Formats: sequence, C-alpha cells, structure tokens
Amino acid sequence: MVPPSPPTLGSSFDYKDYPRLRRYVDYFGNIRKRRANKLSLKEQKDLRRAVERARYLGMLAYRK
Amino acid sequence: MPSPPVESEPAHLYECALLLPPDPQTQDGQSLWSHVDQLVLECEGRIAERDEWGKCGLAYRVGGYSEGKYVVLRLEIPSHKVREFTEGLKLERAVLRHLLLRLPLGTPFVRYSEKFRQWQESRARGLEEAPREPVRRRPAVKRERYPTSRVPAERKAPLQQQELTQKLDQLLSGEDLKL
Repeated sequence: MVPPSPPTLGSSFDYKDYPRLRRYVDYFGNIRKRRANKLSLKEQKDLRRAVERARYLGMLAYRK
Repeated sequence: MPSPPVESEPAHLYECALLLPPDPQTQDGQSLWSHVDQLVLECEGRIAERDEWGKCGLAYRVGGYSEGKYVVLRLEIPSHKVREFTEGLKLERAVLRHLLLRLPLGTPFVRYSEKFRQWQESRARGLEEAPREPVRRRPAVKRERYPTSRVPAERKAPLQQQELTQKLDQLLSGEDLKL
C-alpha cells in the first residue's frame, strides 16, 4: 500500500514528483504493469494520470 | 443564450505549472514575471505560492530547447476567468508549455523543487537508490539431449595382423569348443 502523498488530495501520485515517478516507468518509457508495481487499481490509475501529465511537461519521455 | 458571469463568484484554487526556456525572454524585454503578475491581476486573482525549479534537462526537445525551467504557481482565480488566463499564457512566447489544474480546497503546497534538488545531489554523489526487488524467474531446467543418429559412434581401433592370426588360430584349433 502506497501512502497517499499530500500534494493533491485523494491522489497517491503527483506529476511533479519526478524521482518517485521514474521508478514506475521502464527504460523505454512505458508504465510498468500493476502487478510489477504492486499497486492497487486506484493507485495505478493515479500513477497513469501523473505520468501523462509529467510527459506533457517534458519531465518523462513518451517513448525512448 | 449564455448566462452572464456572476460578479461575486468566489475564487477557486488552481495550480499552474509552467515550462520555461533556460533564459526566458519576453518580446518587449520586460521580465516574464511582470507579465504573469499583470495577467493574474487582470483575471482578478492572486498568486498564493510560487515554487521555482532550477535548470533541468528535458526528456525530449520542446520548442527547440533540450533544457528548461519549471515554475509551479498556486493561484486563486474565479473560475469564469480561467479561459482568459490560459489564453494569455498561450500568447506568451516565453512559456513553452503550461498545465493548469483545479485543486480541492485545503490542498497543502509541497515544494517539489527541494526534493528534486536533493535527488540530483544524491545522484551526482553517486549514491545508489534503493535497489529494486529482483524479478522472480522460473529456475532454468536443463533438458537432457536425446542421442541422435548423427552422433558418430565410437569406433574401435583396427586389429593388427598378429592379433588377427592369433584369433584365427584359436578358432581353427577348436580348443574353446565345448562339445
């Protein structure tokens, strides 16, 4: 269980938290599977939303 | 018919992340912040918090830049002025990209620039991150190879002539016959 981070209430991940997000993204820029990340469904959805926002801002790559 | 905007609408909480080039320059030579402050004032809002990141590399080139600066603003703007604010940001050339999110009231402001800086320093010092858990894989099972016809059988060494004559004599003598 991932502890909810404070920045956005109700969300487990924040798009600005780059050092944390990069752990859930593989070398090619894909989001790892939920089973590999050991996240709940809600956490995985929050992760996806955060990664997409980080990609838009140029923090993470869409594809390597 | 669109309804006119309500004058006394309360301001909502927004978070605006801006991606700027490493040396942001505006068209008229003024600082970018004076432009943004003016834009927020025009939108009847105020900047509650500001978090400026240092120069950092981008994952891909944006507007011809491979490095950029991030600035995160915490704004209080009435919702009917949001469109005006985003249009103003789009017209600003010094802003490469922006992301505006509405936040629930009472959301605390976290400065991720500090966290990012600490991470950069630890990486520069060569400190490894927490090692990932090893991926569980099935143990490799070695299969036995079935003998095929292509494998050449061991050949016996050819008998010498002396050995051959001895064997022949032994057979012809018939001593080992048990009649």
